[in-house]
Amino acid sequence: MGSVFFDIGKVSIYRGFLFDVLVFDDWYVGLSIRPINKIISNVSLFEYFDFDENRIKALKNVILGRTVYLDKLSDRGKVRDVVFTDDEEYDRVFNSILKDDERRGIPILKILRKSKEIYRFADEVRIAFTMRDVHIDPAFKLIFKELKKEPHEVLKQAKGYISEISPLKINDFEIEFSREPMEVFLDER
Amino acid sequence: MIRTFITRDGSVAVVVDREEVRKISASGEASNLGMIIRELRQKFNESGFTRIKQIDKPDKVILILEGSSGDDLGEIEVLVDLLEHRFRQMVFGTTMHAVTVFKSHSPFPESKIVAYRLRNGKEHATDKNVIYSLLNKASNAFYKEYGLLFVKVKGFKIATTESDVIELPEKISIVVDDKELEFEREAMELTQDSDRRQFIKEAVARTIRMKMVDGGYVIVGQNALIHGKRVF
Repeated sequence: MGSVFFDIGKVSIYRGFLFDVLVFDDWYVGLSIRPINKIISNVSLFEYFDFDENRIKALKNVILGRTVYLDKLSDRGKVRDVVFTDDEEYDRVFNSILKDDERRGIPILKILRKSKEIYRFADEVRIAFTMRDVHIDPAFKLIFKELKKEPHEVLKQAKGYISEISPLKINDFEIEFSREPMEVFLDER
Repeated sequence: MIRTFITRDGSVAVVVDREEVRKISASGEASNLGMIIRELRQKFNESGFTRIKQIDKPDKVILILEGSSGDDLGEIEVLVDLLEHRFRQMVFGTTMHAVTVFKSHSPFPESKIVAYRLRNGKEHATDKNVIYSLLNKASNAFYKEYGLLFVKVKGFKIATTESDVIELPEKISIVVDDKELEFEREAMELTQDSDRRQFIKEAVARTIRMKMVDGGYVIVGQNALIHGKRVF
């Protein structure tokens, strides 16, 4: 730990928000908004680790349990296991997903996606990073420092998102939200 | 009082500190703690985290959200924050600080609800999650067909608000994932406040997701969206 495992030059930052819908006793609707950032490699996991199976092997514990993105940002899963080329089961897994021998030599990830386990080559997924990576790689501190926002900046971002959301058209109705947040949190059930 | 962390296997866990709850509860720690755990479980269930392992320790209660990942951490923190605020408000009559909640200018309109019950769901799936997934896909298909927002409600139904303009048939057959689903219209009244509340929450959340996706956002969690264009 402490040595540089990751390459922050190979990551992309995406911005967005989390929301929660509240319904008050008087049937007014509240929207709780919290800005978020997603840090995802902009190259495949295999390329991220320089196409080096041994590096992936050395970092297996760091990779297990991590979120990976498949073809699209909306398509993600969690790494359950890594099947390396010298593992006994590699051939069986390889043949079950692809018979094109050109791909032989690329580690295969077992991924939990939508409650199902699937296999993908390490060059078919992108890897996601979280705050805990600061403990693994201090270089990530730079990114998180950059992303850290003061409360007034968070509020400004949240206001930006509410401007995009509001008004909301639901069938024959339209709901407009205040552009200023509530100062006091009211009882919500 | 309530904090989150990532377990060794990568799942998100939530810890409720018994001592903190006791300190601010004065009396009734046990009932307050029970309420907090119940509410947390309910919130997590609503957000799709249905497999929750509970570990009771003398000084804390740990809830491990099996199947979650570090990516879900932010979403879970929002749920936890909101609950903690509500609890503190209940105890102190005030909150520690304001949360970023934007309120609507008017209440959600009174409206009649039209529901369709899935008649042949069990022919295609026995797993509840698979049926829910089919209902979600059917809601999308109904939207495309009729231009009305449908959301799933309890009892293997999907529901929408009655429209003055669009007339809906009594029966609808629709093919989803190569499965022919048959729906039958049912009169439905959301007599229970909790049912109406759930309908509104689902309808608003679904509309937000659809609107933001049209605007270039990508859904990365039940209520999490990021813009598809990277910042850097």
